[in-house]
Amino acid sequence: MDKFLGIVADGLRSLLQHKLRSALSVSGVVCGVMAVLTMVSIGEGGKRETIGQIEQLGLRNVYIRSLELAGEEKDRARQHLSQGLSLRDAERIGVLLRGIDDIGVYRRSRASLLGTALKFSPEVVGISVGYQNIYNLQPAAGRLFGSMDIERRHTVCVLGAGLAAKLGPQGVVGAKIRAGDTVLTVIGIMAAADGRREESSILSLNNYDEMLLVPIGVDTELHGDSDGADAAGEELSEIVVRLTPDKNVDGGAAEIERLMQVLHNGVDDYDIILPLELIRQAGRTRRIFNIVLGSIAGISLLVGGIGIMNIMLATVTERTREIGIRRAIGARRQDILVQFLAESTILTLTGGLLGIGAGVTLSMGIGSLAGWSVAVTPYAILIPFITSLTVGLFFGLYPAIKAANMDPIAALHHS
Amino acid sequence: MIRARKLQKTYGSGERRLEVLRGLDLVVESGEFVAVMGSSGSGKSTLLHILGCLDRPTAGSYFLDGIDVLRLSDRDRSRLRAERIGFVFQGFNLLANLTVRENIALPFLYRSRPCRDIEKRVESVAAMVGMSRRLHHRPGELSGGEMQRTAIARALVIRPGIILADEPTGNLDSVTTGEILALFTTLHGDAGTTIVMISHDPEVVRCSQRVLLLRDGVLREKGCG
Repeated sequence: MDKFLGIVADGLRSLLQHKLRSALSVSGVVCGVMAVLTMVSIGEGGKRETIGQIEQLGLRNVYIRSLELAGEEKDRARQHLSQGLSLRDAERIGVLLRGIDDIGVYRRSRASLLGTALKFSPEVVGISVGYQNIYNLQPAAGRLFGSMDIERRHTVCVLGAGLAAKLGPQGVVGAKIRAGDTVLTVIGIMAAADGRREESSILSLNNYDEMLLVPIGVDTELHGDSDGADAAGEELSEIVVRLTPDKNVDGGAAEIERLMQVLHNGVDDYDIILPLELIRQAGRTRRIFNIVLGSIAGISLLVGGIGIMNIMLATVTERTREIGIRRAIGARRQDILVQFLAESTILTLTGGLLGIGAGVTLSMGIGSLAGWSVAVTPYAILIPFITSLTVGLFFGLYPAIKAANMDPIAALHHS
Repeated sequence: MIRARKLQKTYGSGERRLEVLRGLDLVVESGEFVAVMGSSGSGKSTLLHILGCLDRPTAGSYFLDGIDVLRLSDRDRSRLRAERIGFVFQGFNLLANLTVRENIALPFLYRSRPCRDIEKRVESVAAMVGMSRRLHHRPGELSGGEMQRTAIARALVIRPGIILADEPTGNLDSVTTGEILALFTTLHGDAGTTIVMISHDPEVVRCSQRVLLLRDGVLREKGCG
């Protein structure tokens, strides 16, 4: 062991005597490792954020989203007696299917608030109690809607924190707000969003900050386009079905799909989305990303490795006489092999460590500047480290074998 | 100590075949100082490389301290060099990036048995060759004589059974040649080290016990010094 360490130390000393050359020869590995680590960290951050968002949607939930149909398609859909996503759909799913834990509905629109200082029409969201339960909504002040509010269509509302702030004295619990012909009583204020939970384009993962929440059904009255009697037929934005823990999610989604086809007479004016399937898709995308990433990493480390091999071959030629001297005083082929292999491995390991340092710094810098979620995981550090070690051993092997197999006499007489 | 019989060394084949050693016999007893002389290309260095286990003869037998060298693997011959043979070359062959101290200690790196008093032994041989004050210098900062003294110290530090010197004074002026030969004489006289020295230099004849002349691939006794 002492002998091995002595030979490795000897190799290190040789490298330190050519600092600039050593530094230049590891630059390829540094860049390769830095690039890999940065890409892995950004990719991992993105993956975690995506999965986090999907998981917030609930892995036992099935989403039925209304599809916007173009003019002709809509006319055709209506001829087939499909009125779009409606409260009736939600009711029938609840009645006809087993293994349903809760059902929430949700409809988005806009309404002008009269007699306020607001210069825009806030988004109005009509929600059901089931929706509140599924998303576990909690108000910062006051209360949310009860089943009586929904059933009797109480003209009450809950304000997003941002909207409440903009409404000033009218943005408090107990205040009255007029929308169209309806006067709404503020019964609660939502907690301020944490900023990161921005509006999702995938599903109804909402930032409620600027929204006005009302009981489902009341929202249609604000525009004066419903007398309430036909509210069950008004097109919903979305239905969320939470399945019971014992229900197979894929099977449940298939049952919902079949029922929806019957209810809508085969008209595809809705879309069924499964967060579980989204996670699977994210996994598949991730695998493709990993293959691309692995290829880029492989190419960059291959280039770095070729650089190392090139410099090691030059070193072996330059130090031929030294190899002869070492052999003459008793070095075995194996000792020469170990020395040159140690040199290439030290070079790439140093490159790997520098690359890891640079990669972590760059990842953090990009994350901070671009506002992206970046996750530097242990494997993001370990993989480039092990890869650089392997590159050092692999690309250093041929020069080391060449050095070890030199004829000692020819090497001694090399000028 | 050295028993070589009918050593042959041939390079190339066919029309390019070159017979350098043609059935050479050599016996060197322990503690002897033998000089091998001969013209350029007579095969002196080839003989030294075979004796130093760096090369193999085409035919013949070679025993060093009773060990049949030709039956040894490359690994075992390396071990033999690391433990029993000290080389001194005409071109000094020091490693330019190491200090005098590190150059002298270098053979210990390749010994299978660990040595605990390396520093002491390095300083002792450095003192013996008169290099104690130059231990921290690199070869580039030394004169030719000092470099050869360092090379001799490197050969001595493992306490070898035999020193093989290949024209050790070939690159030195007459004054330094005298100093280096005096050093070899002292080593031989005081420590009883076996020395086989190849040289063109008539001065070597005076300090060696026995002079052999290599001509036409065989050795002939020339006379006593």
